Formats: sequence, C-alpha cells, structure tokens
Amino acid sequence: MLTRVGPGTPLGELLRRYWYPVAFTSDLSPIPTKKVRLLGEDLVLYRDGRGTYGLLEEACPHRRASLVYGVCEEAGLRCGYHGWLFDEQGRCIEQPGEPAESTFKDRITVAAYPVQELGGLLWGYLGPEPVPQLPRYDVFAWRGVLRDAGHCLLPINFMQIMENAVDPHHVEWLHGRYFSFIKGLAGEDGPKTFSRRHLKIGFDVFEHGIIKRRVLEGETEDDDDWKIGHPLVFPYMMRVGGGGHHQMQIRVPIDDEHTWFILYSCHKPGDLTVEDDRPVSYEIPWIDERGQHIVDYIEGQDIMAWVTQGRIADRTREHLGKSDLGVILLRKVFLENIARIEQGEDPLAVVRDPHELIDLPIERNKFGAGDEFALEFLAMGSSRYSPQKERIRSLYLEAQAQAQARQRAEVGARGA
Amino acid sequence: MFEVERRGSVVRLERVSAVDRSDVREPAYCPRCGASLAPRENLVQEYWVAEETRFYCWCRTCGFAGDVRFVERVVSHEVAE
Repeated sequence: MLTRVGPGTPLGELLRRYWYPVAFTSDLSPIPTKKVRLLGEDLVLYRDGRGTYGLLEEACPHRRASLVYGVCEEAGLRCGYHGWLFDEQGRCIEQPGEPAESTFKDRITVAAYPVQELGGLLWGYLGPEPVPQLPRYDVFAWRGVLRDAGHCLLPINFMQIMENAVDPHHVEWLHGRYFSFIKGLAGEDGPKTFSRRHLKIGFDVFEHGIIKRRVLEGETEDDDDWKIGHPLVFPYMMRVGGGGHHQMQIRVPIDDEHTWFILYSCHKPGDLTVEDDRPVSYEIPWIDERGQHIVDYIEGQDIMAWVTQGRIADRTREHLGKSDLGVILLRKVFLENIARIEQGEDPLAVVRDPHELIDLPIERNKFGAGDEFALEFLAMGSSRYSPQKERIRSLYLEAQAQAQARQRAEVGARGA
Repeated sequence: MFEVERRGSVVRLERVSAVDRSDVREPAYCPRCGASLAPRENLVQEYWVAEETRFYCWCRTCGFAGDVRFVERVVSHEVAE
C-alpha cells in the first residue's frame, strides 16, 4: 500500500498530486533531450528551438520507437524513426509519410505533462488538473547563493528513505558512533557534532509536512533543535542545514524499486552573496570498486542503511520501538492523505495560491554547534565529491573571518 | 515462560524474545466507531515499549488515532490506610 508508486495505485495517485524535479536544467545541453522515468512512467524531456520544455510519453505512438532519440525542431519534438512531430501538449502536428490531405495526425496524441524551471531544476507534474502551483521552497527560490547538488540513483523504494527523515535517533548512532568507529579504524577523529545523545524527540504535522524536533544532551526545549526543528517536506523531501548551509534532500520516486536521491545545497554563510547561483551538479559514489558501501561520509552511511534494507524493505519483519514513533506517524500521514484525495480533497502540502517564496522552518544553531556545523558537514559529507568544494570552503572561511573582524571591531568600540 | 491454550490443552512456551508474536492478536475493530481495521487503508502498527506490545491504530472511517495496549495484569496504587 505505501510502496507502490505506479499509476492506478493508491500511493501512486497521491504522489501524482505533486511536482517533481526530473532533471537539472544543465542536463539538456548539449543534447536537448533526456530520458526520464518518474512514478513508474517512461518519459522524454526536451527543449525545442523556441526554448519551450516538453515532457512526453517516451514511446512514439507510431511504431513505439523512443522519442529520446528524436529531433528538437523549432516547435516540438520529432521522432527520429519516421519523423512524426509532437508539440508540448502531446498533439501530433506532422506525419510526413502520410498523404497530405490525411487527418490521421489529428487522432494521435501522446501523454504530455507540464514542465517548469526553478532553481536550476526542471520540474514535471504527472497528476490531474487543475495543476497546482510549483512550491517555491526557500532553497529553490533564493537568489545570490552558491548552489551545489550531489545526486545518485539508488536501487530502493523511496519510502525507506522518507522513513529515515523522521528517525532522529539514527543520527547519534549512524553518523556518530558508527562514523567514529570507521574513522577510528583509519586512525582519524570522528565527528563532534553528530554524536550527542537524544533525550527527547517530537513531531508536529504542519502545512508543508512534518516538523521534526529533538533535545540533545546538554540542550533544553529553548534550543533551536527543539524550538524550531526542521521539516520533512511532504511527500518526498527533507529540509536540513545549519551554520549557513541550507539543504533540501530530495527523494524522487522513479519506480517501486528506484529513487533519484539529490542533495540540493545552498551555501550562504553570514551576509555573503555570490553571482552565479545555478547549481553545479555531480554524481556521488556510494559503492566502491569491491562492491562495498562507502561509509566514511555522512550520506554514504545513510545510503548503506537504506540500501541494505532491500529494494523494498520487508516491514512484516521489522520491530519498531518507541523511538520509531516518527516512522509510524509518517505512515499514518500517507494513509490519511490517500483518503483525502479519494474524498476529492487536496492532500497535505499541495499549494494552490501563487506565491514568491515559501520560507521553511530550520534551526540556525544546529546541534548547538553554531557555524562549526557547516564546516564539519562539508568535511564529513558528500560535498567532498563536489567539483567546487574548495570554493565552498573558502566562502565559509571568508564569512568566519568577516564575523571575527566584526567581533573585534565591536570589542574595540566598547573598549574605547 | 508463558502459557497459551492450544487445541484444548495448555502449552508452556519459553518466550524467546520480547517481540514473540505468538500470544498477540492485532486489534480488529476501531475502539471508537467499531469499523473493521482489517482493510489495508487503515493503519494498525505494532510496536514495543519494554515488555509491552502496543498497536498504533488509525481508523480511516472515523479518523480515530491512538494506541491499543494489551494488558496482562492491572496494577494500581495501594490505598493508604
């Protein structure tokens, strides 16, 4: 019930009420077509000569050849096999081999879906009309930030990744104790900010998903980790960050057994801004040459935990405890929203009103670590694979230097 | 050790783990409205707190959400004399 994402399934119908990233804008250069698989459907994404984006069913309705190997004309996408031409609405507008007076083309369509661009990503919507607004969540809509996006295709169902998003306890173990163990084997120090013990966890459903809260050892409910928390953005994202590093973790359900995992980061430490804000995208490796999981970085550890559960985790053999209440809540929220759409209502986090930006709640002082969180996350996380990692690190060091200079000036001013 | 009745005779079994399911049955009906919880559109999620087995239930019919707990022994406070 909660793992099948294809058309006609209860979860698949719920998931079709949301926009999904289907490619980076940069993916359509130099070749302006790209094969896309989303929610179990095979599609082709293209940009024609006018700059119009289209997202069509992949197979040409003529002889079922792939439109991925088509020709992007001034207007529309032409099948490479016999030249049938389609527009972004899915209408067949030319059939060169048919008699000139034929009206055959008027009876031919392919499934076509709307596409929008936001934050250097191209987004597609596979659901029913009326088409909802593409939510302009903060990280996608900000200007003047340094963007960086690691990504990979994982051979698992998206739900086990989403369940991890409401499982705060794993942080102190997987990214704390286990990480320290792995680092220790290499004679290195483990992370400092990820090892603190959880004293209390809490969850609140809000208009964009579920806010996750925690009280760590040494903290109180007045600290950001509890007072603000951070959200699972329903149904397939999680907003995290701290110390100037803002990230949306995106888990695009490709089909029942595959998920496109994207770590979409914005770096804006202090008051610094940058001119180039298109995301630099790169693949993050998670398996080494021996076929073993790469576990000496944070997201590699997460991927190990998700993938080793199996392609679709067998929930009949799990044993949940009280620390898993977030997982149980998430399952309930999915079922509630399946019921809502079956009753003709909009589900949670579908946005209908036009807007400029949706500011999501996020801790400023993550794990009580201040600016150190971002630097440790850079050193210990997937950013190590970024082609611009030195540029990112320089940005944080520059912000730190500016903050220290400001502090010195304030102390000097007080002394005078 | 615990006992279960099986085909008319009492069998003594050794509990091998806190999560042995042999003596536990899921709640079949919503405690608020009585609707069946069997259809998969409802949620009956088993979880454990120490020795106790709990079922978090969500009823699609009436919207009830909460824990159902099986109680083997009721323990209360002693009234002060």
